[in-house]
Amino acid sequence: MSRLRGLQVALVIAAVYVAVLWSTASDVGFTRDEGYYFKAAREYAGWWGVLFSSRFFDAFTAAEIAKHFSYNTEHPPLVKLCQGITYYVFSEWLGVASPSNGFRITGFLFGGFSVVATFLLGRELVSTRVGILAALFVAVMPRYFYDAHLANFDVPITAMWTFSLYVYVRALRAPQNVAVRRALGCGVVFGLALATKLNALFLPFVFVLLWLVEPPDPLAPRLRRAPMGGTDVQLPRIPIVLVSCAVIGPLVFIATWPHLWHDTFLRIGQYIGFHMHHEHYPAMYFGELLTKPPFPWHFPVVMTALTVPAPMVALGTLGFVVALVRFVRRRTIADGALLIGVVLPIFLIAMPTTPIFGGVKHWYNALPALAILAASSFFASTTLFRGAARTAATAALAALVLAPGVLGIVHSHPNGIGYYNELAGGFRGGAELGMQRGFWGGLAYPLYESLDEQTVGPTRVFFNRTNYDSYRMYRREGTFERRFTYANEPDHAQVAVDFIQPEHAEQRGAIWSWIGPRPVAGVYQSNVTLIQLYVKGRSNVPPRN
Amino acid sequence: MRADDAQPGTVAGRAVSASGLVLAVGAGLFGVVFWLGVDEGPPAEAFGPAAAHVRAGHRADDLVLVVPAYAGRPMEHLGDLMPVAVKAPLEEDFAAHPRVWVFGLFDEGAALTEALVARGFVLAESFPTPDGITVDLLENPFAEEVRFDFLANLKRAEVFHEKNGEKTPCAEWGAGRGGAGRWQCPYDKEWFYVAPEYHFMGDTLRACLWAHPPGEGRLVVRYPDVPLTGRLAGRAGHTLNGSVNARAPIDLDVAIDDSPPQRFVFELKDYWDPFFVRTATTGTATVTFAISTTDAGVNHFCFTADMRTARALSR
Repeated sequence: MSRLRGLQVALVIAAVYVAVLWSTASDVGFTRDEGYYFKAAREYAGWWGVLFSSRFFDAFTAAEIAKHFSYNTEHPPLVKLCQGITYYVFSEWLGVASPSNGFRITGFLFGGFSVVATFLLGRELVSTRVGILAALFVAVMPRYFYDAHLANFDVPITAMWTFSLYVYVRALRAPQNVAVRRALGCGVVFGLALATKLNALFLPFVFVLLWLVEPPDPLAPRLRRAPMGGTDVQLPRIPIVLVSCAVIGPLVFIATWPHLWHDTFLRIGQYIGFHMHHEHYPAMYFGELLTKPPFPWHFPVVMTALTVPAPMVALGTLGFVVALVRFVRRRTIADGALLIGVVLPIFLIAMPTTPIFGGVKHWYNALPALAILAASSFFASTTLFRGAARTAATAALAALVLAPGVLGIVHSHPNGIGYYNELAGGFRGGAELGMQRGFWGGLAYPLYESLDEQTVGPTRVFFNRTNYDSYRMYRREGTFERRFTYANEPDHAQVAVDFIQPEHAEQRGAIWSWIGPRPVAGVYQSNVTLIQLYVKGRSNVPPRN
Repeated sequence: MRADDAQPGTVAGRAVSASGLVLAVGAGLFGVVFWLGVDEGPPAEAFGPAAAHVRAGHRADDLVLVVPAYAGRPMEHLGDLMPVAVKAPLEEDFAAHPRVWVFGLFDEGAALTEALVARGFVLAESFPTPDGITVDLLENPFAEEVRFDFLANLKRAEVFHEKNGEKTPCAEWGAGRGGAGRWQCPYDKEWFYVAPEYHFMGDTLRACLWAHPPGEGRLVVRYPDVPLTGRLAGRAGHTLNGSVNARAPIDLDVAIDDSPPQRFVFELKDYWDPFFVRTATTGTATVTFAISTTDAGVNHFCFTADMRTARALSR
């Protein structure tokens, strides 16, 4: 398959992926962080209104910037700026999307982009067909599919991380005549990655390591005779793409974030400092509630093995071992990029002091490289077939290795945040193993849709893990009537939502005391309890038959 | 050379190819078979009729066990009967219950019933239920009679903070959670009180007496005129939050009248451990529970206890 034809196929896959995400997003409840980003995106978008108005110059003043960009400064702006744009374009102007989908369209597009970026990286490092299969592997991961619906950063940074790797490798390998152009482009892409999420701060480690893997010149400093006599120390030549990333990357990062245009270094320090001292969110792991360091180093490894479809885990592991052996024998950028691409994101989370939160999404950027390794193993296996049988066998096998992911998505949607793979035993297996079933408050959506039927008159609802900004969006979109008000605690609430998260189980105790111990409704997957709803006056008495 | 270009001529290349093929076929087939055959369990409408058997025959001192613990839909039909759904149901305090209901899904009910029968319980009835649900009623020949429940009689108790030989009464009877009432100490009222509440003890909520130990001294809960029945039985431990955030074990001293107290130590991972005190079998006494620790920080403690006697003696 030609490179161009491969790109066309990848674009079609991405387009289908975006369409599927868009058409299924209304089933997915709002997660806690989405509530914050809805608000931030809207505030940031207000700045565009100033920029493209007669008040153009006001847009650059400290006061105007503070007005629009003071909220949620712990995350860079690119995704939120894009969310603001897609919200206004698709929801406010065109009217083809609900307000929440308006924000989420940015996520769909980044989801599609991550598929294309995986293809491009796979094509660059291995082959076109590997790139296509890897892109499909990424698309059919149920947890990734779930997150690709959201107005969050994790899928966008996966796309930008992967695309950065692609453009960097291309720049590093570039012929002399295009080296500068590609280097400049890589600097811009790296800067945009920095503006997407914190993970990009670790890309320079990957870039330097890849340079060291296959340096064009000897790395050791050498002595040489100077033209004017004497002796010079000749240092290794630093690739122009690294210089570009070092210079242009930060400039793009700052340029895209108006918040940094004043008190630049102080605010960059505050941004990084926030994450250096990030709180630890509890997570259930084999029946143990992890709340503080040291966290088990194997957490991201085991969670990957239990939440990525088994064929990708198995083939990816084989591909990793093969690439590692080959790398030991003969170092290449291709193997180096894939190995580092898998190891570094997982290693960062595996460090015992790294806060573990959000399940698996914080090392999603390792998965495109793992998918490429899996696809490599796959095509290595098809060389056992000869002639016409090879094409048919390849197609059948490809369908077979992708099917568990597709079936997992069909089975788990819209509760994909709690998906466990066939190795774990699905939702029931995850529950039996004592793993986290869900978090971030999004799973309760079906209960919110039925709130109107639960009570009459003004009702205080303890929404628990669903935050106030998400509540406001539900109310705005008419998910429930406006008579439902937000209660911060279960005390004196008439309705309460209980998330099956042991770290918040004390809230369930309060719900039982104030409202009653019998849930009247719930969200279940394979009969595994995810969320339950309690209603005053009904939860403390037998059900009406 | 492209990384996916196998080298069929080499042994290593063939081994990698064969391994890939085995993994692709094996993992793919396994995944497909798993997801197409995954047991979703009974549908929502099946639970009402099955639960109706329990509701129709339920008595106040019955224990209802729901298995597996993660399948919480039965709670929508039985929650007000306070069923217990835990990972280790065989560790429950069966002695306080003359009959046990087992409401099970995914064949786990049958397995639990079998285990209880093996322990000497008598299967009284298995009810006809929709596919995927089992409802069994077992009689417990080892049941004891509960004569006095300390949790239910909290209002009779005297609560005080004992420090350096001084007693500060916690004599204010507040509303408590849901109006259940509580004895509040005059300071640190947000946590320094004794009250019947629900707390997450290990892997489930339990009704128990919240009794946070003080920074110094002991929190004392004293019950006068408790009927002596031969045995004081209880359960106690750290709440889940306490177990992961606290830093020191808790000592629970139980004393009958002026006899030397019996000390029970609850380490951080002790969530709902049993404790027993042998007592006289006649008359009444003052029973004292005293809670203390060397480090009170986030040391969330909850306990329950009752006076019980062999059922045969009571008849």
